[in-house]
Parts: sequence; structure tokens; C-alpha cells
Amino acid sequence: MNPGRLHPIHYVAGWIIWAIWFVAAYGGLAVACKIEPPAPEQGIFNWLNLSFFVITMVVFVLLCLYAVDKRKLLKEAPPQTKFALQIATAVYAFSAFGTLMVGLALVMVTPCL
Amino acid sequence: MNNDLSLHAQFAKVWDNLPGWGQLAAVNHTSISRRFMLTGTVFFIIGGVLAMLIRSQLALPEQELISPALYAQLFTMHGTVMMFLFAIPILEGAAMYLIPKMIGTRDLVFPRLSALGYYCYLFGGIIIMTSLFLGIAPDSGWFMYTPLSSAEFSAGPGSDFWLLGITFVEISAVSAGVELTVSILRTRAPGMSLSKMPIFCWYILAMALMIVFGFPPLILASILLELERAAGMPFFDPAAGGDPILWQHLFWLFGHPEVYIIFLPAAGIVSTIIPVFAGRPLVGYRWIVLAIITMGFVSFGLWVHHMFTVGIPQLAQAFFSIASMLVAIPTAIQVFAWIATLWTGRVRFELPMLWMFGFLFIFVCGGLTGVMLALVPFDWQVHDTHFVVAHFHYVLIGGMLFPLIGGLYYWLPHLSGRMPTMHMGKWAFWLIFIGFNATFLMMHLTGLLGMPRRVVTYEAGLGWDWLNMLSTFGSFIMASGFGMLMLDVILHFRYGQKARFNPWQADTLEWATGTPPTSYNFLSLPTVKTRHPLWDKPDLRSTISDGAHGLKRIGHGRRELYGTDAVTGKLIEVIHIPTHSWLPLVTALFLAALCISLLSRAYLVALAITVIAAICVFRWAWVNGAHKEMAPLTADEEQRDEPKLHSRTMNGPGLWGMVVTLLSDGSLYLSLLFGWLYLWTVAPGGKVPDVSAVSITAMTISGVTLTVAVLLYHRVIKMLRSGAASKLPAQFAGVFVFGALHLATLIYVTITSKLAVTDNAHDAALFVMLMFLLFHSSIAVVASGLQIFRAKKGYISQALPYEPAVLHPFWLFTLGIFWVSFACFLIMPLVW
Amino acid sequence: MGDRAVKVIILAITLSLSGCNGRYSILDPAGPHAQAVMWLWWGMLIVGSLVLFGVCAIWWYAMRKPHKKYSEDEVKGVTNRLVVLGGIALPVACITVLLGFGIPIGHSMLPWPSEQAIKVEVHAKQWLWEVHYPAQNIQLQDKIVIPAGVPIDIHVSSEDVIHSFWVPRLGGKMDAIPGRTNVLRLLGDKPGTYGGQCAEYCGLAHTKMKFEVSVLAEREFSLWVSQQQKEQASSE
Repeated sequence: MNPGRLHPIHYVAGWIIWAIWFVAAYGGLAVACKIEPPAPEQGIFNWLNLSFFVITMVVFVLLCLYAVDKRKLLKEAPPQTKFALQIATAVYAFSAFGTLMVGLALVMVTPCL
Repeated sequence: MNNDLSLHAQFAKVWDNLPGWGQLAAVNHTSISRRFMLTGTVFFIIGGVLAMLIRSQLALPEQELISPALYAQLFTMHGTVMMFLFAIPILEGAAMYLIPKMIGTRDLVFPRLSALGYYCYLFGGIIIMTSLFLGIAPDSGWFMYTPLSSAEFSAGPGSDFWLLGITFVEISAVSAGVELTVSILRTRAPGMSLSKMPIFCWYILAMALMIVFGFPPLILASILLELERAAGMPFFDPAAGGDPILWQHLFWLFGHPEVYIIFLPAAGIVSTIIPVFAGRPLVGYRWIVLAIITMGFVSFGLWVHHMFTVGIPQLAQAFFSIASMLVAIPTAIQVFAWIATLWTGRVRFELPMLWMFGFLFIFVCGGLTGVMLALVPFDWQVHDTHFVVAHFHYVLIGGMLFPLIGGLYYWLPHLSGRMPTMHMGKWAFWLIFIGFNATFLMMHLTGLLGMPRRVVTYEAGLGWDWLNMLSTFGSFIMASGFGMLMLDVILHFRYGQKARFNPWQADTLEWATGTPPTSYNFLSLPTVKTRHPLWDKPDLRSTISDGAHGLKRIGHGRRELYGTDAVTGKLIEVIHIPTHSWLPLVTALFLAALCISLLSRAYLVALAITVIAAICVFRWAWVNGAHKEMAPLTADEEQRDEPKLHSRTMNGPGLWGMVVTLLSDGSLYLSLLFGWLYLWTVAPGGKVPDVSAVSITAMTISGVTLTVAVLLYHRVIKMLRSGAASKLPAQFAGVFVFGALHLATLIYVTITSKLAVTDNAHDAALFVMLMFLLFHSSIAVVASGLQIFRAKKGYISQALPYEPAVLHPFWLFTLGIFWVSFACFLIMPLVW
Repeated sequence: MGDRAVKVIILAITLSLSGCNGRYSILDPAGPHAQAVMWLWWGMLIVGSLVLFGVCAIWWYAMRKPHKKYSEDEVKGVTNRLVVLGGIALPVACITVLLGFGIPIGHSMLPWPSEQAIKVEVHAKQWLWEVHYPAQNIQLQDKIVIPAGVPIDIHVSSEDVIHSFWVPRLGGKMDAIPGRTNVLRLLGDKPGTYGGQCAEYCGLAHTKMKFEVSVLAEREFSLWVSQQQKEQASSE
């Protein structure tokens, strides 16, 4: 088994990915609105929301895959790593949920206003 | 038995503080943390008196008890004192007291740093308080919004007191954060893996790391604002490409995590106390760990909810609104895990539990209004009204003070060896609880009726009169409750019943130290196999005291701890820590002098003092490792029955301390990078010049020489790792020469640059970046210069590879920030 | 304990219902924006109180209920039920409902492009409000006059430090920040005079930095405009 899959970074990696997504999305939206804001008449269906949605879904799926991976490991891993894997699974799942929650609410908002 | 007594005496000789004035040279965590808590209490009383003055002024409409100028100082200082001089230090003090005892070790890993931290806090606090007594206290509100706090609108020294004094105190907080992190990760009792750690340690670990990442944005903001005030660099002036909103971003980037930094340790106290009084292990340990990790991260994504009315885009508002509400989930998880613990346990209702219930009611109420405030349209109405004042007092007093007092009663027997009683404690609780709710519950309504914050008085007949009267009345009841509480605690030291061993039947190791504890906590260090060592082995205290466990040799006269693996808790080395020293006090005195000279704008004096302070710090570094005052190499080194000393390995606590400090440093750098990008892209007048004011060629040369120096250094480390190091002084000399070349070029670049630092915020930011690089390069070069001598003296060798390993990440960091700065600050604007 | 708290809340509600009006009261709205927020508040208060007393009651019960021996599995069951229902489902449900109401309400308050909207520039300085109607060319100080039912776009800017423009009975506040101009949509539907005040601490006379908004019926407003224009022309 690849030892990297049991690295202690997985305690927090889910939220680190979430944080990077959060900063990138927030900064990206701010900069995009500065450079090429979509017309407000377009409502929520415009290039910015679409790309934001795609990025959010990619991050969401990535985090879910990680959660599934840790969950699988849980079955085969030695008992002393059980705790770490349980926390890691939950952290990935929670950060996936957090991404989805913030992301979905955001695509329903007209950007750059 | 006789033999044992003498063993205890020998330990006391090594571990006890010096007598008399020598107490000032103490570095022991029990002593230092008590001082933190005592000083914090004094500041709490001062902050409380300020609050009483504020409430007196607001008792009746159109009162003129206090002038608007004084009133502004009072509310600014009340917030400042309570947040920076009471809440954070007292919780750090509590953590510093408890953590080593809970994880079964004898001290924190960097005891001299704890002492320095304490003195920085004390002196910083005194400097800030002086301004109040001189009547020139800061008066622009505890969040110091520019331009009100800028030179133009606050010409007096008030803002300078705040910026310099608070930065000073923050250095203390960050150093405690670093120390707690490394202590928790590296000095747990052998066998105590992360999963067996007392839950309190998880909370403190999260808090410490949050301090490490969360404080630097404010430190940077304070530096920028002080530079604007003192040197005219227009970071926040829109006319010169600055932006006052940048201050708000940086401030709240710190300010929101700060709320959770305060809440987490308090919640840790709750999670520790409830299982003890429920007589069963905490249920949902994993849920709580998950909640702690979640809070630690999500709380960094909420800061903009303090800025919903500054006119930021609606999308950004939705972003932070949802993130703010998300944080309710980990909070609720903890509350329900506590309920489940009570549900499945057999509850004993003692004094600390009364405070737990008070905590629950007040904190849940504050949490709910917090969710309301996260809703943008509602926030637009109640932002900056008394509704918000009520909300955050519910969160902070409910979420921090009530658990803290509960914890105080719970650990009183540990501090004094005597038991608290219900008699007066109950009265104090009800006075504070009723007084608190009388003050703040209806204050929500005061806010809804439209009373803004920070008004010195108000007209009669707006419906605010009786509400303010009620609040003032309540606040005096609460104050009398605090008076009774203090009386109760003081009296108990004299009249309290002697505590039995482990009086509450707790499960954690701090109760195995004996009450009150000895300076070395544990005579021998036990191996921990479960999460509840005292429940599973009630005789642990006597076996520890009899010397039945590890590391009980003291003949060498060193203070020693076990160093264990960060995750598994496997024993890997013996950490020797320094003993008492005057260096922390002296260094802190010079730093205080630096602070005062900056306040009085005597910059030449400040420069001289900086040099002296730096000399102190390097002296401090010099007497480490294999220096004769610390742990010189001996002939019988290999025959010990204990693992190697850490200074004989490449994985000592210093390396961890360095990495955690660099995380904090990196956070400061990222804040600077953020600030610069923000000024460029978002600030209304933001622009970058077409040509670089800094010579790109010279910068490249500087960068290349730096790269060579770091490669050479890296090679030394590789050789030490493989065990084939030789001619170390020459190797370090090579590093030093290239490092010095780099530094010289960098100084040349800075001097010859054509930066218009007072005309243009972009150039000013560039200047700060250059200073940041210069600071790091200088330290790296001087340190490597000293390494030449240390290698010659034999303090660094193949047998002593520790110190080069500590400096290694610092060189890498210096290299990293150089090239990132080069790419972002210099190249990006050119190719854009 | 529970009893006392209930009494306090009942008292609070009675008192607040009777004492909601006042010059700056959020709970006595005179326009659709402020009204929406008021309903939001009452809704949140009810749900919030239920949650607060629910949680406290469960806690109290858990502490006081007769002791029973639980097996490991039962403990796990209790924990998961409490944590999943109370710790996750409850906040998620509350947040979703709250956002479901809140985001559309916030949305409706934004300064959407409108043909009808009247532009009013408000320039804050220590410690007064300069008001300018660019289309009508009217200058005022510490006083704004607007027609009822017509959207007004207040363009807020600042001369010196940060101030905040706030008319509680008409709607939310907007900061006046040096170097920026923020737009706030104000909508009043009841003719009358409403208090406005600075909500961000802005120096010594922050407390006195007040103004007044008069909402007139549309016809009276046009009359007022022409009268003002005449007066200001003659004074020049």
C-alpha cells in the first residue's frame, strides 16, 4: 500500500483543498468582475457562473473521491491507523459538503453586482 | 523511601526557580502560566471598570458624565483590553499551565520563549495602559478603522500606542502558539498517539495553529498603518492608490479567527469537565475532533461578514454569508456530543456544572443571533447597532468567560490544593448570570430600536431610555457577582478544605502531579496506553512519584523531557530544555525600549536598541545545543539507557519550532502579497507603474547568489544526513560568502531603487516587500556566519547535527520568498 | 430556571411589541425593504427561541433524568442520533430555510437598473451630510426629501473618514468610504418624516451626525422640487 495514503496530512487535507478553492473562487470572481463582467441582464446563466459551477463540481468530486478512498482503506488498514482514517474520511466528506453548499448557493446569484 | 525523598530533592534542585529576585529569571511553565493568568485577571478588572464607566454614561439620556473624547478612549480601550490583554493571554496561560501536565511531560519545549512571551505581554500591556492614564489612549475604536486612525484624523500618539503596543503583545501570542503546537506534537507521554490525546489538547492544538496563521495579518496591517502614520507611506489613502478597505480585510482576516481562538480553548474546558462530572468518557470523541478541525478552517473563511455594509459585491456577500452559517454545524455537533455524554452518564451536579449550564444557555443564544447576523439583509439593518454589541457579548462571555470560570473552579484544587465550595460560588454564579442577561438580553431590542454603537449619549423618548437603564442596572449586578467570585477564590486559598487526591475523579494526567504540583510535574514519565490514564490506573500517581517510570535520572543536572513521534507517540529521543535565565527578561526590556522609542519617534535610538536586542537574541541562540551551559558532549554518551539527546539528532523540537514559526511567517508574507494584489486590482485608484523602479538585473544577480548559498547549505545537510560530514567550518563559510554577496546586492538594489514610497501605495508595498526580504536574508546570513564559529568550537559536528537542520528550513523559506517576490512583485506587472 | 427564562421571554415579547415604534426603530418600518427585514426578524426570533429552549431543555433533561446503564452499542446509538439530528440536520435545515428566505429578500433590495429611479448624491463629512439631486439640481444639508413609492438611488461618498448612511425605518445601511461611491436603494411607501443617522464611528461628534428623510406623496414631491429649484435659483 502506498504510505502516502496514510500520511497525517489527510487529517486536514480536505479543508486545505476547500480553502484553496475558496480563495481561488473568491479572488477569481473579484478579478473576473473587474476584467470582463457578464451583463446583468443575463441573470445567472453566463460564462462566469458556468465556469464557477464547473470548478466547484470538480473540487466536490475530487473531495468525494478522497473520502471514498479513505473509507476503503479503513477496511484493510491496521487498527492503529483507524482513527486517522475515520477523521480523514469525515473531513473529506465535510469539506465536500461545504464546497457544495457554498458553491450551489453561489451559482444562483447574479455575479458582479 | 529515604532514597526517594532525596530523588525528589534532587529534582527540585534542578527544576525549581531561583529564590527572591531570581523569580524574574524563571522559565518554568507552571510559574509563567500562573503569571499569565494573574496578569490577565488584572487586565480583566481594568477592562471591567472601563465597561462600568461606559454603562454609567449611558444609564440616562443626554447625560454629560463623560466627555465624548474620553468616551471614545473608554470604548476603544475596553475592547482592546478585553480582547488582547485579557481573553487571549489568560487562555494561553491556562493552556500553558495544563498542557504539559495533561500530556505527561515536565515543561513546555521552549521554556525561555514562554518567559519572553510573558514579558512581552506584560510590558506591551503596561505601555498601552500608560496611554490611558496619560489621557492619550487610542480612540478610534478597537478595530482602528482608517482613515479615522490615520495621522490626519488621529494626530496624537493614541493610534501609535495601539499599533505598537498590540503588535508587541501579539508577538507574545504567536510565540505561545508556536510553543504549544510543538509541545503538543512532540512531547506527549510515550504511547500517547493523537487518538489517545485528551480532547483538551486537540482544542489547544487547533487554537495554537490558528494563532500561528491568524495573527500575522493583523501584525502586517499594524506595520503598514504605522508606516503610513510615521513615514507617510499611503497604503490606505485612496488619493495615492491605497484603500481604507484593505485595513478592514487584514483586520478581520485576523479578527474573525480570533473569536474562534477564544472559543476553542473554552470549549475544550467544557469537553474536559462534562465527562468527569458525567462519570463516563466523552462520547463522540471523533465527532468533536472533526468539529474542531472544521472550525479551525471554516473560521478563516468568514471575515467578510464584518464588512457587509462596505459595498462589496453581492456575490461575495453571499459567499461569506453561507460560510458563516456553515460554522454553526461544527458548533452544534459539539453541543449535542456534550448532551449525549450527559445523557448516557451519571451526572454529579457540582459547582463547575452550574457554570457549564450557564455557558450553554448564553452561548447557544449568542450563536443563534450570530446565524441571524450572517444573513446579509438583516445585517444591513442591525450592523453597528447595539444588537451586535449584545450578540458578541453573548458569544464571548457565554462562550469564553463562563467555561473559563467553570474551569477555574474545576482546577482550583490543582492550583491551591484546596476545594471550592458551593456557598458563595452559587451566589456569584447567579449574580453574574442574572446580571449578564439583564445587561445584554434586552440590549438586542435596544439595537433593533435603532441605537447605534459608540454613541456617547442619546435623546430621550426614542424608546431607548428604560432599556439602557436596565442594561446599566444589570451590569452593576454582574460586576458585584465578579466581586463575589474573586472574594470566593481568594478566601478559598485560606479557608478551603484540603483537597484529596484527584478530587473530582478525573481521567487526565494533570491530576497525577499532586496538588499543588511540583516544578517538574512528574518524577518519572509514564507510558500512556489509553485515553483515560487515571481511570484505568488509579495508582499512577504513586508509581510516578516512586520513580517507577521513565527518565528518572537527574544526576546530570539537566532538565529533560521525552520527545515522541507527532502521530504515534512513539518514544524517539530525550529533549533537554534550558533552565532559568535572565535573557528573556533582558530581551523583552530592550524590545519594550524599542517600542517606546518608536512611540516617541526617536528613530536613531530605535535603531541602536534594535541592534542591542538582536545581540541579545543571538547570545540566546549561542548558549544552546552542546554549549557548556546546556548539554556538552560527554564520554558516556552512548552508555545511557535512555534514547539519544535531541541535539544529537536531526529531528529535535527546534526544527519543529522553526517550521511552525515559518508557517506564521509565511502567513505574514501571504498577507503582504494579498495586500499588494488587492491594491493593484481592487483599490479604486490602484495601478502599477510601467517600468520597474527596482533593477531587475541586480535582483537577478542577488537571487542567483542566494540560490547558490542555499544549494551549498543543502549539501551540508545531505552530508550530515548520510553521516559523512567533514570540514564543516569551511562549508559554512562558503554558505556565508554567497549569502553575504546576495545580501549586499539586495541592499544595493534597495538603496538604488527609485521607489516613490510616499506618493504611491504600490511603491510603498514594494518597499515593505524589500524590507521583508532584507530581514530574512540578514538573519540567515548572520546565523550561518555564527555557524562557522560554532563548528570550529565543536558545537556543530557529525555527532551534533541538530543546529544546521534547524536553520535549513529558514534558508529554504528565504529562497522561496525571494523568488516568489521576484515573480509576483517585479515580473508579473511587467508582463501583464 | 426554565420557568424564569420563559417569563423573561414572554415579558420581552410583550414589551417589545408595545415599544417597537420610535424614530429609528427597525421594527416600525415605513418602506418595503425595512418591512421585509422586520418580518425576517420576527421569523428568526421565533425559530431561534424554539431552538434555544429546545436545546436547553434537552440538556437539562439529560442532566437530571434517572440514571440508566447503557451498553456500548446503545451509547453509540444515542450519540449518533443526537449528533446527526441535532448537530447536523438541525443547523442544515435552519440554514437552508434562512437562506431560502434571506437571499431573495437581499436580492430585492439591490439597486437594479430602473428607469424610474431618482439619483441622490449624499456626501458625508465630519459631521454632516451634503445632499445633492443631480437631475433636479437641488442642494440640501442633513435633509433628504423623496417621493413615496419611487425607488431612490442614494450614491454615498465620503470626504474624510468612513461614515455610514442609515435610515432604519426605510432600510439597511451603507458605508460612506473615501475613494469610493456606494449605491443604496431606498424605498419609502408611507409619507412621513424619518430619522437617519451615522452608524460607523467617525470621530467626536459621531453621535450628533444625524439627518432627516421626508417621504412625500408623489404630487407633493414634484411641487417641492419646483419650489426648491425656484428658491435656489433666486438665491444665486
